[in-house]
Order: sequence, then C-alpha cells, then structure tokens
Amino acid sequence: MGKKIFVVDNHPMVLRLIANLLEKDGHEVRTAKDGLGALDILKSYAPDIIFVDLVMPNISGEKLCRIIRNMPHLQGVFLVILSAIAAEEELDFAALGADACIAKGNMSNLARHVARVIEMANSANSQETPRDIMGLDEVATREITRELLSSRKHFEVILGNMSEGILEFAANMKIIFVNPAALVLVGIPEEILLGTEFADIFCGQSLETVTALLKDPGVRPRKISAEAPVLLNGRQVSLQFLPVAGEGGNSTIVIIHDVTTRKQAEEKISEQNRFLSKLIESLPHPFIVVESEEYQVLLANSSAQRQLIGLADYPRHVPGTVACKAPLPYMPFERVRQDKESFLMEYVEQGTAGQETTHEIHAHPIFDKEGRVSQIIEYRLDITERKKAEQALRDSKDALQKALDNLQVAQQVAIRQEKLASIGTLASGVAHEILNPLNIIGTLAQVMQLEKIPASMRKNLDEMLAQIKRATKITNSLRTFSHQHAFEVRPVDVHALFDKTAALLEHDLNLDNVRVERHYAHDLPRIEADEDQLAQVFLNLVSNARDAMSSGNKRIIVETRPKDDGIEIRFGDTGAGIDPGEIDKIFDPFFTTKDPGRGTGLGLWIVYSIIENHCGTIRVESEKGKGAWFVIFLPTHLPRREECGPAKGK
Amino acid sequence: MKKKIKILVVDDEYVFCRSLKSFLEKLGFETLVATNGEHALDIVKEEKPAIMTLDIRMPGLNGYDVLQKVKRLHPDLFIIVVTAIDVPNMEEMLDHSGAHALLHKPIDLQKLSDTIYGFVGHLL
Repeated sequence: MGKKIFVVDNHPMVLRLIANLLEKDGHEVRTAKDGLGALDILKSYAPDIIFVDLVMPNISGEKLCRIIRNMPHLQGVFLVILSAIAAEEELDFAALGADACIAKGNMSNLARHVARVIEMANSANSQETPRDIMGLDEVATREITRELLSSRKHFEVILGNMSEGILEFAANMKIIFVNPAALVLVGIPEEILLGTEFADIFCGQSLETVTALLKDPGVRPRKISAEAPVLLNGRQVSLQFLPVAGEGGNSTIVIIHDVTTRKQAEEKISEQNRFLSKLIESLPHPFIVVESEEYQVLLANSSAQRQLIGLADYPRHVPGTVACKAPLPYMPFERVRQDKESFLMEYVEQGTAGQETTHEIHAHPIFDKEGRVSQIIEYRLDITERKKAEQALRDSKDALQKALDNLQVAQQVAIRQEKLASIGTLASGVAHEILNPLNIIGTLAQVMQLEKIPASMRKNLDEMLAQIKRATKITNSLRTFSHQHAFEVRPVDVHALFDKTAALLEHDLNLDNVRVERHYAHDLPRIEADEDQLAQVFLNLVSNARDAMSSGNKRIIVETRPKDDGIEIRFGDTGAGIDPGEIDKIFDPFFTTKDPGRGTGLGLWIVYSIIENHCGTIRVESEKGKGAWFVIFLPTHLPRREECGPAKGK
Repeated sequence: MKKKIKILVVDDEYVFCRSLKSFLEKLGFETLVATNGEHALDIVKEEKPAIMTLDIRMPGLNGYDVLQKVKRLHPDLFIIVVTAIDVPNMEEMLDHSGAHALLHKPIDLQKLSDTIYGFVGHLL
C-alpha cells in the first residue's frame, strides 16, 4: 500500500531519483530541498517515512532529525538518514532518532537501499531496524571530506561552548542556525526557532529598533552596541551582524552578547558616582582631587571653585576634564607623593584686601595597582577663627597667670605682714607686761636709794637697777624688731639708706675714730624692701662692727654690686674677727661674745631675721684677728615665700 | 608756809603710784593719785594740779582720751606721759595732743625730777 514519503535533500538529482523511484511504486512523495522548507511543510504534514540528507546547508540533517523527533505529530515516523560522509565520519544515527541510515554512493546503489528501507518500514517489525549504515562498504573515503569534517568538528565544539550566542538567518530572514548559548538567550525551543523570522525574537521597542536597523541600507557593518543595547528575553544584548555568502545564498551571522551584568555594574558605578558627587558637593570646605604628576585638577567641588584661587573657571559639570593646575601651596602634594601617606599642614593666606586667613590643608594619597601615588585628595578647613580663639585663650591664660603670680606675691607679702603684725602685737603686749613690773621694781629701788642706807645695800640697789636696765634693753630690742608697723615693701635705694643710717651714727663713730669706707657700684638697682627694717640691719651691723674694733686702724668698709637677680652688699670691719668655732652661732639669738651686760645678743639675730624676711642670704667670712666680712644678698624683686631658699648663705 | 605744788599721778598700777608718790613727796610736792582715767579727770576738775604724770594703757578711759579731755578742763596743766609703749612718731603724736613730755618705763626718777623742775622753774 502506498506510503506517504517525505524526502529532504539539497541535491536536486537525489531528490528526483528517489521521488521517481518511490512514486513508481505507488507512494505519495513530497520533497524539500533544505531544512527550512522541510520544517515549513512538516508543520502540517505527517508522512510515514522521512528521508533526511545529512549534509545540508543552513539547518543540518542532524538538526532536522532531532527536531522531527521532537515534533509530537511525527512520533511514529520512520526516519532515514542519507549520509554523504558516511565513510569519513562515524555516525550514531540511532542517537539522532533515526531508524536507518544509507550511505550515499552511486545512484543505483542508492535506489536499492531506498527500496530496502521501504520494505523495512512496511514490515511491522520495528526491531529489525538495521544497526549498520547501509551501503557503507560501497563508498570510499575522501581525504578532503575528512579534513573538512575535522575542521567542522572544531568549530562545532567552539560554537557549542562559547558564551556568546551565535545565530544565523538566511536571506529571507528565517533563522537557520542557533548555537546552544543563543538558545538560552532567546528562550525559544530550537524546533520553533528555526524557520522563525529573526526580528520576531524581539518585542516592543527592541523589535522596532532591530527592524529599522535591518531595513536601513546605509549603516555597515550593522550592529547594536553595548552602549545602547536592546532587550532580548529580559536581558540586555548587543548584536553584531556579519554577512556571509554561502551555498543557499547570502545569510547573516549574528553574534549576540549578553551585556546585562555589565550594564548593571555600570549603572551601579554611575549611581555611586552621583552619590559621591553629591557628597563632595555638599561639603562646605574646598575639596579637590589632583593627579600626582603635574597637579592638574581632576575634580573640584563648588566650594573649591569659589574659594581657591585659579579654579573659578573650572567646569564642574565635566568631571575628569583637565582644566587647570591646583592652587598653591604644592608642599602637601609633594609630601604625599614622596611619603605615600597623608599630610597635614597649616597655611597662612594673604587675602586680596590684605587680611590674613589661616587654613588647615589635609592631603591624602590615592594609590594605583602598583602602589604608586596616582592621585591626591586635598581639602581645606578655614581655621582663622580657631587660631584667633586659641591665641585669645593663650593671651588670657598668660594674663591670668601673671595676675595669679602677682596675687600670690601680694598674698605672701600680706601673710608676712600679718605674721609680723601679730608678732608685733604679741611682742608689744609682752613688752608692755614685762616693762610694767620692771618699772615698779626700778621705782621702788630708786626710792629706797633716797633713804639713808648702808653702802652695801646701796651697791645692791645699784646692781638691781643695772639688771633692770639690761632686762629693759632686751625687751625693747625684741619689741623694736617686731614693730607694730606693717612690712611695707617699696623700691629702696640701698646706698641712700646706708648713708642716712650712717649719718645717725656719725657722732658715735667719730668719737670712736671709726672711718667708714664706701665702694658703691655705679648702677646698683633699687631693691624691693622694707626701708625701716633694712635701716635696722645697717644700724645693727655698724654697731656690731664698732663694738668689735677696740684698737688700731678702725675701718668699716661697705661694698655693693649687682649680682644675679639682686644685689650683693659686703660689710667688713677691721676688728677682732670671729673664732672659727663660733662662726656658726653668731646669728643665733642671745649669742654674744661681749661681756655680760654689754649687748643683748640679739643684734645679729635681728639682722638675720630681716634678711630672711626679704628672701635674701647672709654669710660671714672671718678669721680671728683679721676682722669680719658680712656678705649679704638681696633679690631685686620679692618672690613668693616658697621660693625663698635658706637665709644662711654659703 | 608756801603752798605746795600739786602733782597728779595717773597709772593703773597702784603700787607704782604709791612709790612715785613717796618719791614726789620727798621732793616736796603734794601728790594726788588716780588709777583710772575717769578718776583722774575728776581730780583735775576739782584740785587743779599744776603737773600730771599720765600712763597711756589703762582700762576704761585710756591715756589718749584723758589727754584730750583734760586740755579743755585745765589748759595750763603740765602733762608728762609715762608709758611702757614705744611706737614710732610717738613723741610727735603726743605733742600734737598736748602732752609736754614723754618718759619711758621703767622710769628713771632722776629724769622725772629734771623734767618737773624744768617746768616748775617757771612757777618759781
């Protein structure tokens, strides 16, 4: 009974031969000369047997077989492959879904095998499908064919594994080849895709763009670039159209590149850049980025434009445009480039109106992949106000410190005054209390002396009165020293004071033949001191010296000179000198080398106390028989009490 | 009989007053004694002495106050201040207040009699 047979072969002779053969046998034969045509027909035709030529342009026989096997209405079809390269290439036709395979040899052999196949197809036994390629032994191996096939294999591997999609459409725009990557991209199954018009894989705006591009005769080579991609199945793709001349006419190969990820990354970078730009713009401080070679400005915010000299014309809407060199100073850039680390400096700028402003310049490096400084960030903070405030703070701190120092000195003086005042009060009180009883004793003794009394009694009374005088002297000495007047500090001219004091004693000194020699320094500064107390010192020293000189060339020598932060007074006499064993004690209260009753022993103690009050030092140099030198140091300015060292000098 | 010259001794120490009194009486003066300022003023008012020795430190009315008051009561009074106090410019101050002489304690009776006779010389 006649079968419906469909033959697909691009060789017209083979088609005619087989068609004739089969029609003669009463079968219904339809033909197609390529895969596209075949698929077209097969859409609505369900033959019993299909012959497919393996080697065909555009859609290959292999492809066609697979597609046929996937078509639901062709499930039971008996599929035969006609292979012209059976001798050169192994073929597992069963894997392709074919039931048999004939090696294309000469026409008569071919006819024979075809007839055989028809028989096979007729028989209900489907297990009897031959495993071998029929007529294989009748064909010879061709070298060129083998080489070509080998080459094709390489390309098949490449095409099958590359990530770009490769698609080919014929002159009639129908898709004739799709590689696996393209299939994924397009998202349409191969059997439907093959034969579809190329533009139809797109939709919406992309469809319009592609259609327009294909129609446009002008642009060559045609392409849709990554900068302006089209949408394909939800992905952004670029397209490259490559015309190729082939067996079936001119076709076009399309390379499809999925640029979605790249586009997304670019968009993210753009977004980040916009964000950074906004951020940098929002900074109130001048902010610039320069390249590290010539310090050309790469980026500047509007603050920088406004405030930095020379950047006024910088076109801030064109980032990356080299517009001008960075403003001075260049030291931050140099240091950052050299040291490869951040740098901070203060910079004073002269304004156009002559005003000075101080800025803190911060510079930071940006490194390239080799670790070199490729760019430098710089921003400036105006710290003029801060500096002013700091200076004001320092000034007020200095002023406060000064005030504090003055206050402390004044306090010390006040404390001294109070101490002396209270001592004075006490001393006065005590003196008064002691003098009154002495007064009574003395008066009574004097009254007794008015009586007629024996000489011995008179003598005793004289002695009593003498002792009363002695006690009075001591009491008065103490009282004089702790006088009720305050410790009044004034600048004192020591020379003038000594002269005045010496004048008081002139009479007595002349009587005793004591000569006073003065060796005054020319430029002796005045010293802060209590004049009365210093006068007491001179009085006591002169008195002491006079008492020490009993005979010979009696001289008192006074020498003055400035020393360190004060003055030195050397007070010498040509008297009897002091024993080495007694030198340490001469400043002790009540110590005296004079006969009892002569002298109170308080004179030098008072001198020492007064010197101590004035934060000075005193020492004595003396040898027995060689007179004595009192060396006194007094500071020009009275310091705080704690700063006074010991009064006993070395 | 010649009228004796009256001297008033003012001091808060009674023992001193008494010993001074015995000395002055030996010299031939009529001696009156007061141990406080109030009492002294009363005596001056009543007895009008020619001479007065005056202590400064006394309880109640002190010597300075007495000085001032007494000048009004008895301007011709010869006042000798006898005191243990010793302060600078004391003589000036007392002079300014109207005292005529200043003697320090413990008193030297010789000096006292010299001072009195120095004044009394006028009276004789």
